[in-house]
Order: sequence, then structure tokens, then C-alpha cells
Amino acid sequence: MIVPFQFLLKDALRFRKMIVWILLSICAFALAMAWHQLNFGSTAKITPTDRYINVVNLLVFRLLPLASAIYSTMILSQEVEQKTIVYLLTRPIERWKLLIGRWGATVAAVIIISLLGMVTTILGSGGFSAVKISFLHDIFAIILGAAAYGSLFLFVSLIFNRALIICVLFAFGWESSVPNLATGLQKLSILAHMQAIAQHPDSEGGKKFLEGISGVLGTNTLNPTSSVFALIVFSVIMVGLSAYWFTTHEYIPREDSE
Amino acid sequence: MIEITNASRWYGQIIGVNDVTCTIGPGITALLGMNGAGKSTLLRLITGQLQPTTGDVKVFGQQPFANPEVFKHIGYCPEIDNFYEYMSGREFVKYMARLSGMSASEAKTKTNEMITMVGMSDRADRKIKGYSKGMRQRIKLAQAMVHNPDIILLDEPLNGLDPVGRHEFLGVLGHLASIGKTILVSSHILYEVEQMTHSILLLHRGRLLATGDLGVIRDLIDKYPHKVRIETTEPRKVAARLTEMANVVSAKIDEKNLEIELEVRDPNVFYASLSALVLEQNMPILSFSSPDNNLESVFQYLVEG
Repeated sequence: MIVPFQFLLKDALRFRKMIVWILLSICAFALAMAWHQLNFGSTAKITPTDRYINVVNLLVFRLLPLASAIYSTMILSQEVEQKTIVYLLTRPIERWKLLIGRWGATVAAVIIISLLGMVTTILGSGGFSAVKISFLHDIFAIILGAAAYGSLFLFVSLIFNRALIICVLFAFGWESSVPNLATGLQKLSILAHMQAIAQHPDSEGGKKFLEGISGVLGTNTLNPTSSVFALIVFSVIMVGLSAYWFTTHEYIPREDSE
Repeated sequence: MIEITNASRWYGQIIGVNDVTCTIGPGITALLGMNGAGKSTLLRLITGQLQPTTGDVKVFGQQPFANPEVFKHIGYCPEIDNFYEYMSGREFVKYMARLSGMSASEAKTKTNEMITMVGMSDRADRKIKGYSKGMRQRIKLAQAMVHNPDIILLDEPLNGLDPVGRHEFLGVLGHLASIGKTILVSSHILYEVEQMTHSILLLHRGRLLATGDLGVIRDLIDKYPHKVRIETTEPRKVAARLTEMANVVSAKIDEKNLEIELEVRDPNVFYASLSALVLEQNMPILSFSSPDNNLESVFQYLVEG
């Protein structure tokens, strides 16, 4: 399991693959820096903590599922498309080990990308000492969110040919709309669980703006402990299902299967 | 080592392999068939990438599908020309070695051995994206052998190799066979196969048409008249002389008066006689060829008689 993990993580963290995320992290830094100037019609004083919370919710938590969708396709879909799957499936390694190792690598890559965005946001908001918030909660939310999105998208990529489209639709369609439907449906959103785990206080300056573009930052009624449990159980079930599916189904290069 | 019993594989409505039964043991065996005959499907069944729709495929007594125990004994060199292009050849082979369960130091040692064996020592640290077809073939072979498998399956391995590369490659195969490895090589080129082995499996439209020694199959083919085309400056004189030979069935001169097309029985005897005729009687023969000496003709003989 370690070898597939190491090799895929090394591939995922190549500069060419990271450049977009580095640029987005710089955007997060710039946005956090400029947040108090944008003001959004609020008369309240905007603290560094407000800036951090708003930018993390707007960019970091929002882009995590996108990064997860893109990186999840590296686990298998990309290998099938590039036909290199042949090399992996004829090696003396159990398929489930191969899959879980590679899943772990993509989750690690998404966590690293998200933490990079989180750190630049903190720096843009005034530094670690200025932002009065428990960063551990955010780190924990990112880790569990990356695992949950990664496991869901992994399963989708094992079943569907054009998985990336489905994953992106989920990330931006489902995750934006479902938490705002009837009460209780928040439980069906990974993003809502992440926000429950992060336990961000209500922030001023930009709340209206954020509500306007996403609406997802409305009142979150989920219990943080339940959310932790839910994301862990969900991840374990999805990875288990994926491992079973991958072990019992054929995966051969795309054009050869047609 | 490899036992295939009534194995069939369907891709929806299309049949890839149809009721194939055979056993493959040590030495070099060639899997011969035209494009689309089912060679790659058969190799995928043996390498556990596919499951047979019906029948049974066993390697060392075990079913190979998703079975790492079987993969310890199998080295597979696929036909595809796809790699992790950003890696160097050495990194790629080492990655495959590591995936086979070797420690980092063991993988490094075995990788270097294999890279040397396939003659890539001086180019193994360049990125694969800059490799020629021949270099890619060598790296594929190295990754197939890096974990010292007992069975090596090679899907069209000579594609893209230059004559020197082919010669070296055949030398490597001969060496591996001599140390007791089971080697199954697929090809659609009869001449290529004859250089490697006489033990063949002949596939046609998914069916196993013939197995055994290539010589036996050749003898079977030789029951029927073969076409031989002779280019000469004096077709009438040459044709008259050739038709006197016992194994020449018919002779026809083409419209341009440049070539004679003969039908002969027992072509090996005919070729020996033809050589003697040219040397001893100074017959003006510029060239000769056998339009039948290709796979399509072999299949025609075997299927249609």
C-alpha cells in the first residue's frame, strides 16, 4: 500500500500539477488582504478573523471538492484513459491495496493543497496571531472533508466513464443547493459537515455577499461530533465499496473495452 | 504451467476468444494470428486482466483474475505504447519492481540488471517521452522481467525494433528459454515467429486453429500447391525448363512477359532444385518470391484446404 501511495503522491505534487493550486492560494492571500476594503456595505468593523473565515469558506472549503474531483480521477480513470492501468493490474499486489494506497495519496495531495490555501489566507488576513480562531478545527475539517470527497469521487470514478463531470456537478451543484433546501438535508452535504466541524463563529462583513453567491453559509444546525462521525463512517464505507468493486470488476484500457 | 480449457470471451455481441483449449509449458511458444484473431484477448485472460465468459484459465493451477499469487510468476509486456512519460526508463522499471514487492535497494539492483540486459544502460535516465519506439519496447521488456517471473508474455514485442534490436531481442528470448522460462510471444508475422520458435498456437477469428510444431503445420500446408513467382528476362525458356521438374504443377507467364507464376508441391524440394538449376545451368532468374508465404495464405490453406 505504501508504494502506490508514495509514487502517486510524488506524481500529484509535481510542479506542473500544483501550479494552478499555488496560483489559487495566492488569490486567497490577495482576497484576504483586500477583504476589508471590499466591505460589502457593512458598517461593522471587519477583524482579521472575519477576513479569514469569509475567505476560507469562499475559496478553500469551496475549492477542496474541485481539487478532490480532479485528483480522484488520477486514482484510476486517468490510468484507464492512458492505458497504463495494464502495468498496475499485472503486478503481484492486491487490487484493494493498490486502490487504497492511491486513494490515500490523492487525499494527502488535496489536504496539502487546502492547507496551502489556508495558510496563505491566514497570512493575508493579518497573520497567525491576528486571527483568533482554532486552526485545529479547520485542519480537522479539511482532512475529513478531503477523505469524504475523495472516497465518494473514487467510487464514482470506478463506476462511470466520465466521472469528472459527475464529480464537478456534485461539488458545485449538489453541495451548493442541497444544504439550503428543507431542514435536515444539510446532513447530505459533505461541505455542511465540514463547516460544522470547523465551528466558525458568525462573521461580519461579507456575510450578505457570501449568502448571495452561495447561500451555503446560512445557519448550520449540525452537531460537530456527529459530523466527524458521519464523515469518517461515510469515507470508510465508500472506500470499502470501492475496494470491493475494483477487486471484482475488469479494468482494461478504454478503447480495448469497446 | 498455463492451462486453458474451453475458454471463451465475449465483448457484448463480439467474440474475442472462442472455445480455446491448450496447455503451454516451458520454452518459447508463439501465438500466431492476424490482427483481431484474439491474441491480445487470450493474453489478457492469462494475465488476469479479463475473466473468461465460459471455460477456465489456470496458471500454476490458479485462476489469474486479480490474483497476486499468479502475478508473482507472470511478466507481461503489453502491446500498448503508453507509459508514464514524465518518468525516466529507470524510474519506471524501478516503480514496477517496487510494486512487485521488492525493497528499495533490491528494486534498484534488479532494475539496473534488467536495464543492462535490454541494452538501455546509457539511456535509462532520460525521460520516456523522448524515447524511440525501439527504446520503449526494451523498457517494456525490462519491466516485464524485473521480478524474475517464470512466465513471460509478450504481445507483439518486435514491433518497432530495428534489425539489430530484433537480433538482440531474440537472443535475450533464447537465453530466457534456455534457463527454463515459459515464454509466450504473440505475433502476426509468420517470418518473425519462425525466427523465435517452432512451437506455435495458431489463432484465427478467436478459434485455436492448430497447435504444435510449425514444421508440422508447414507440412500440412505443403500438401497443397504453393505459388512461386519468378522474375526472369527469358520467361518462356525458363518456364519450359521448370515445367520439366516433377513437383511443378503449372506455370503461367504474366501479360508483361516478365514473370512466371508457378504452382509447386513440396516447395522446399523445389527451392533446392531451383538453386541447382540456376547454378548449374545458368538460368537467367533475377528473383523469386512466394506470395503464399504469409499468414493469410496459411489460414486459407488450413481453413479452406
